[in-house]
Amino acid sequence: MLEIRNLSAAYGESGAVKQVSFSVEPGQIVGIVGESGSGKSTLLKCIMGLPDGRGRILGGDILLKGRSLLAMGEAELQKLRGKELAMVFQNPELSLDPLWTIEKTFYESIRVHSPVTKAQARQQGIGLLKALDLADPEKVLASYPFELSGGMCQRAAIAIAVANGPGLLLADEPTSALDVTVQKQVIDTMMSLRDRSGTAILIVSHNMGVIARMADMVGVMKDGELVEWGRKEQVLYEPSHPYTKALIRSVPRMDGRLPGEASDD
Amino acid sequence: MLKFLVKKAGTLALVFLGITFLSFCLTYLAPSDPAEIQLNKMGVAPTEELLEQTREEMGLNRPLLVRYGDWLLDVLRGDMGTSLRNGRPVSSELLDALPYTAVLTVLSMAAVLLISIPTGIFCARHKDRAFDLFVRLVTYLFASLPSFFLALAALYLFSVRLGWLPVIASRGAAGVIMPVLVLTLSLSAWYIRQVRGIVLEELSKGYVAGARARGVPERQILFSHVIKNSMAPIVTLAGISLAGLLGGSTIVENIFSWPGLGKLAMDAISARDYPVIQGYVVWLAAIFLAVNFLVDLSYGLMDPRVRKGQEGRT
Amino acid sequence: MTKAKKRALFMCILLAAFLVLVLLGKYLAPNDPYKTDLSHSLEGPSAQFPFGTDNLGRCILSRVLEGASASVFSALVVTGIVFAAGTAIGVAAGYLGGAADQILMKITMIFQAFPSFILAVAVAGILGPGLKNAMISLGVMYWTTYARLARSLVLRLRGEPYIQAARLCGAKRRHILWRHVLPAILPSMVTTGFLDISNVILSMAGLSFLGLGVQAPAAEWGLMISYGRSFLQSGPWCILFPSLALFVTVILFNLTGDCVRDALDVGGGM
Repeated sequence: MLEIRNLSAAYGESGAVKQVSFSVEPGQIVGIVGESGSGKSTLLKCIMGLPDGRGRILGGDILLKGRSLLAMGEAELQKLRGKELAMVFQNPELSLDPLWTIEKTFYESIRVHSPVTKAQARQQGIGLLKALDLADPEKVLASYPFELSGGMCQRAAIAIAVANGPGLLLADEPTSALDVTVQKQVIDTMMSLRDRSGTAILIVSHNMGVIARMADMVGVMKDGELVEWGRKEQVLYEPSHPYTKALIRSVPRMDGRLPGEASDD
Repeated sequence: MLKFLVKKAGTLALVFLGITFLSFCLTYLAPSDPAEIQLNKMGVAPTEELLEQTREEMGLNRPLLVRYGDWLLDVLRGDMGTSLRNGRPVSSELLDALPYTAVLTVLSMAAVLLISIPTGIFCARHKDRAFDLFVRLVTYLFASLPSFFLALAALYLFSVRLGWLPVIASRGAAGVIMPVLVLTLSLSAWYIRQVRGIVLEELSKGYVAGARARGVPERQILFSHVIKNSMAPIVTLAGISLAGLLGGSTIVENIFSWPGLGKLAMDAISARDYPVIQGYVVWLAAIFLAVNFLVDLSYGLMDPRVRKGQEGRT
Repeated sequence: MTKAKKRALFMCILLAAFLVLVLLGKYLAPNDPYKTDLSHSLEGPSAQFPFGTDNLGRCILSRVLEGASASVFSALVVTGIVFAAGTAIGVAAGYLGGAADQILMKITMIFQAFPSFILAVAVAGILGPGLKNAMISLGVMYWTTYARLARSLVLRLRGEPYIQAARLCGAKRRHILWRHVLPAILPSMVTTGFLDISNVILSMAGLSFLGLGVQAPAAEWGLMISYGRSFLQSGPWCILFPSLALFVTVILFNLTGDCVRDALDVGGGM
């Protein structure tokens, strides 16, 4: 699905990415964990190819379904974004236009990639929100972002992001701005998305618990380098890098189980 | 929306009372005694007794608040006293001059908005390109030029050198060109920079990155998201900049002998015609207040957060 | 020292040099600024009169230099006074809170409801023309900016953890005010003040131009430009050079203000 090869990038004064390689298979959830400034958000920005004056890719390649994203022009990338490659942000209310209802944004998201009528988009929206277990989809669609609770807004934002059925969803700290109690709902929404449509998810977070709960594959980033990479169980139970060990030790545990499962039941 | 309206209307009423009270108190600043002016006007030599009697007749000896109350009631009825110069009602004097200032202000404001908003947006969109740098330089220089210099430069260029327009302005269409040009230039210099700043700020917001991530084309992001979100601050500044236009019109009207409120005010000042000066302040403040009230109301139309009573939450 | 700080220092030195020039202007004048000589009426720039002469044969350069202090220092004094008074009022309002704050803010709101220059014109017009009255009217026009800014800065600071901590530690109000609040709000205030000086200079020139400031025959730039209107055709230099002096002064203050803002890193100021 996605392959990152020896990617190096500079972003402002901090948050660089150094020689990072890994891949995301279709339907897989990959979690990258690291503290702020470790380069994990820069990584996502590089994949999205978002025009950002301060970021610069220095070397390596990013392949989506075998095609190099770095070789593409802006017009081609733009057609890809939202269609095959989608993204959700840390703060859902800020990432949606405050003057637009969810329905209008949803319609725009589909409309830029394929011709639909408003009524069709609305039907699709209701269907998608229902499938993602959001109560009262009509009301959510008619709401402005500020009218929704943080968790509801993030789940609506996820629905908008996957409106076109992208193969890969990038999630940048999608739960970090939310109350602990609603984090689970958002995680469940993403998990059910993968189970239902086979969407691969690349999630970055500083929260080991969230990554441990969701991911199939886990990577650990420190100072721009990917210091640990492997299956979740392997990374969590047999970490090789001292930094990973320290990260795991620092997660508060409730009863000896994995941190992600602590808040379950 | 109703709650928002009631709150705004309450503030409006309070501020209106405030500006009328301040304007009323202005006459206390006058170095001369109104009773003395009255006597002088009637050609009577003022003696201490006569002055006291006149003060009593004119109600000048009553407490300040009582006099203010009476005056305010008169003002609300449209009676602002009579001009000391020619004995005409102050409101007629102001009404005669108002259309001239209105024409000047409306035309200038329209020109400013038409020039500044597209230019400011374009500069923000193409930040640090040649055009942006050029506009920033020019507006910086123009913002440092006093409007009266611009007015005189326009006179020199168009009347003295080129002979296109008469030096003494006519009251018709030809006469309005130069005043509008000058007001537009001096206000646009400021306004373009403001619009540019507002749009740049919007462009850096999360919803722009969000729209890009959804594959929305840049042009569409600009037109359907950024500009719409920029409108509230842009309109607010337009309301505030009306103060600059009205202030500038005082100077420009006097240079071009344009018979509006600013010219009337300066004539009144040189004749120490206090009621007219007072009326001028009250009227312009009321106009400014009314326009900014409308701007506030327009927020409700533009922004669902205000409409639904979520003001301040972003 | 960062680049921005260096640049700000350079501009401040340049500005200081300029102000010294303004202060000593009258001693540098090549001719007597008040000496009329009808045989030299309305002469263009020459070696004897570098900026030309007005209709009474007075040397424009000498008058520009002579008028510098009235034009520039009056504005500086006004800015200084409104800066101090407005800051005091704003800090008091923000710090006291409650009814005092409400009342003070309502008062500034009412002052700001006037189109500012109109209020200044009216106050100056009713007080009668003169430099002192023009300065008073500008003070009336400009004080609200500082009061509102200082208040909002203080309110923002009051919630800051280190101020709260100082309070909890039992620091005296006055101590917190002088040691923590004032130093913290000063950069923003100074930047705003700096950027405002040029506005005050322009407003002062505007009042003089309307005949509400310094009275003839004194030399003052706004007044000279106003006087020169009659000779627009025969002696445009009567207007050009005082305007140029005004322009250079305003640009210099603006540029320095921008550099100070960048150096103090306080964002947009006002």
